[in-house]
Amino acid sequence: MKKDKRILVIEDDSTYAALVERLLSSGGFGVKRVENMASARKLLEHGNFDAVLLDLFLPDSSGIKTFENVMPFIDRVPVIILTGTDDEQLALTLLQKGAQEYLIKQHVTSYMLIHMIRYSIERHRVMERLRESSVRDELTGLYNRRGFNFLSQQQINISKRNKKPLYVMVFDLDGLKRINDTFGHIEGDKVISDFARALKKTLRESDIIGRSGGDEFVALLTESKGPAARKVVSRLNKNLAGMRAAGERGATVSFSSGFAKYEPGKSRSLAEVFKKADKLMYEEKNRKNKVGKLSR
Amino acid sequence: LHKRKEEIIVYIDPAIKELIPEFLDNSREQASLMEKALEKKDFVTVKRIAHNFKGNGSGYGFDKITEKGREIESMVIGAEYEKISAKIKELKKYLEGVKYTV
Repeated sequence: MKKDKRILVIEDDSTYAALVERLLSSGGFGVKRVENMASARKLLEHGNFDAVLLDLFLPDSSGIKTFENVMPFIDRVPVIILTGTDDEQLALTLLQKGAQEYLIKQHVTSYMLIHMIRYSIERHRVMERLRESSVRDELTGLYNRRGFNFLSQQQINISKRNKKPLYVMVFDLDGLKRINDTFGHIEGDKVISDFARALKKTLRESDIIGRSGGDEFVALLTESKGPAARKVVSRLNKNLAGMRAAGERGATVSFSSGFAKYEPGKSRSLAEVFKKADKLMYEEKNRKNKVGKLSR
Repeated sequence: LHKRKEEIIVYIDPAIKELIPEFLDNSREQASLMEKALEKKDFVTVKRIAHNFKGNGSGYGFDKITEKGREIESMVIGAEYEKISAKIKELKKYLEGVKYTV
């Protein structure tokens, strides 16, 4: 049998909590109840819930602030407001901030409550899929430009706070156009996804990797020290060669890369650091092209 | 006569039938607490309890409790002592006399 959906009920009034717990369990839900925001946040950080029912007035938090306290979790779990405060303006504000529903205790019926929770869970799933597809590159599964920029900005903020540098890398495949022209786009796509796979294999889970254009890739190394980051290119080449040897790779192409450091307090912006890495990458590419022309 | 009887008998959702005696006991207790808080001019507590009555009443099937909770909560803003006191008495009287069935 399918496991019961688990609902976190954040409600300090034990009389109302008793009613909600009864209605939810008769509706087939599992219930965990807490009385204040501090315990709620602790559970939300670790626990796995399918939905949250949130009362706005708690001993340690009230009104809009209560919702803002759970906002860090709304991408993971749908939050449904269940309050005695019948205030349409407040409701709209909270929905704009990302609440799934705003239900008023004295108006909601048990039938509605159960169904609103179910629908919120479904709606949240659809939104999650949309959000995911809006930040991913379909071919490689890496982040697209939007996703990469969004996550990078978060890392920049963390880096500013911790005063720890970040390393930026750009990669560009050499001669992909020739592969496309000679073998067709399907083979070209395969080269791109093979390279993406090698990048994933080479970099850490915590690094952010994106496909920024046709044959261009970007990476933000979040936990590397300088020397380790400098070794990425040789490890990437090794992994590409390994994949080729194992027959996991079709046509082979080389790549050009650039590397730059983001130093909080010193670097003006991430865009500027990328520009620097881009410049180095193009310098490498131009050198190769010259050599190519001379040897022809 | 028939009409008056209808007014005081509340129809309850069978799913929550067993919760009702405790809810009513609790409500009577809360109404007394609210009365004491009012005597001490503790309007914060009066408002909190009234707000809870407003939220709980209809949920348990007792619209009258929600209605009175809402009225008291709105009176707290003007600190209308006499009106609130009268309203709490009405609520207590209702809580003593109310009957329910599934």
